[in-house]
Amino acid sequence: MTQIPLSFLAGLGAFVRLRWAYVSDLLGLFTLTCYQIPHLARHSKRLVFWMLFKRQLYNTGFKAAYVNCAIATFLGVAFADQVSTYVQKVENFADLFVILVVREIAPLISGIILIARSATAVTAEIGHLKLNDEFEVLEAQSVSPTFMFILPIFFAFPLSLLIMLVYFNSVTLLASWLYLDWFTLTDWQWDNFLYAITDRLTTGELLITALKAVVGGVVIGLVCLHSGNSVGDRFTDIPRTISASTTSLLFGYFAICIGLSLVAY
Amino acid sequence: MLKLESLSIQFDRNVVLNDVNCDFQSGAINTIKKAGMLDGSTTLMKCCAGIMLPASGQVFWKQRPLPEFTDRERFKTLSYCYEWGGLVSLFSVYNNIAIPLAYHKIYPRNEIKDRIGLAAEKLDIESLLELEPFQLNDVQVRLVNLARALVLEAEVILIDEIQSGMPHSMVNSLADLLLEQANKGTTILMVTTSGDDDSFAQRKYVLQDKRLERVS
Repeated sequence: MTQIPLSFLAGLGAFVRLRWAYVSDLLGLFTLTCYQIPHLARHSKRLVFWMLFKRQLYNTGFKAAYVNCAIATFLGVAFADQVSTYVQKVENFADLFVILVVREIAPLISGIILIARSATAVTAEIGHLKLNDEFEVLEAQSVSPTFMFILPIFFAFPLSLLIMLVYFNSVTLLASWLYLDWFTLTDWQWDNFLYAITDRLTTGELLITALKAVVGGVVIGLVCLHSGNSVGDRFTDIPRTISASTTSLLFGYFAICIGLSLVAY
Repeated sequence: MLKLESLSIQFDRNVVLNDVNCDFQSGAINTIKKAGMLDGSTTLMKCCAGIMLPASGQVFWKQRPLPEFTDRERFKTLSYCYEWGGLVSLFSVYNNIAIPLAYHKIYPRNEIKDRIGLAAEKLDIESLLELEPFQLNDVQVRLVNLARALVLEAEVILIDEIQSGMPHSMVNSLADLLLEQANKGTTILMVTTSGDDDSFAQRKYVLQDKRLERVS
């Protein structure tokens, strides 16, 4: 009888210890990255950083634009179609748009796109570098792998997510209005429609959305870098790590978004 | 002078090198002949380059222990040429050579380009500069590693088994190039294996029974 609670406690203890070790690792990685930031003050290092940062921003922010815009268009159409059935006033439509799309759906979908497209790619890339001892190659040149690989991602991911949120909200808004204008009986003018939406976008609203992008982007970046670095000596470690990391990222990112919404609104 | 003092290397309980003491000749080619498959020669070279730390003992360059060197000093002083790999797969061959130079601000940007062009011409690898590392064969990878050391004009070049797979004519021209470099004052430490030509070396060592012994 006493063995059941003891084994349960041991399992619980091990779970907590593992989670704590994981969070400590992430905090350590965050500290290590912050420690590299002052190196950006040196022109020579800034040039190298800029080259790698541009590459990362192009891959994560710019190349994701088409998928982001396509999903935003579908969502805009579906949202306008559903909501226009129940809502007759532009002000009510704007309320729902801000509460549902701007606050919740846009950050969630943009985050999922970032995780699916870029975080997995970065995990694979870092895992490949680790597997082939390429961090050691940089160390042999007295170049910091943290500076070269981690710092660009640390900055590019939040910025990309912020850019993706801007695309997503803008395209959803435009798609909604076009659908309403072409396929429904509403006679809302674009100026009024835009005014009604922007009128509801308070500074607080924009700050919380930006915070979701920044915190979410940093966490996504750190988790995928940490996962990539945990790859061992076998090639099969890479797909396993990507799978585990994607699961953690989805949980983590949803928790951040929903947690921030609950606290802020 | 590159000096090893009571150097021991071990992984867990496996002792690879035990109490190695050696003064390599400056401005000359020093070769270390491998005695077996897992004799620790690569590990020794990495310790000499400051990439790995020995279990005990020290590596000195001009009477200064390597751990006292700053990153930039170590980069400028010691260049290790990998036997396999040694290039970052995310960068082109050119960037693999140029980025560390830019990072440490060793030369201005336009000078980096000229110097890389010159070294590539010497090693006949100009056509490889725009390629990605995965497009190179193992001989080409080793030549790119050497080109990086030549561009840097490092004081010590550590070369790990560069001759494997090279035709005789290439080995001869490589020997001429290394001799020219040694005459300019560069200390070259080179690991060779059976079948490699080490006739051009001024000082020869053999690595056996976990010790480094001078043979000529």
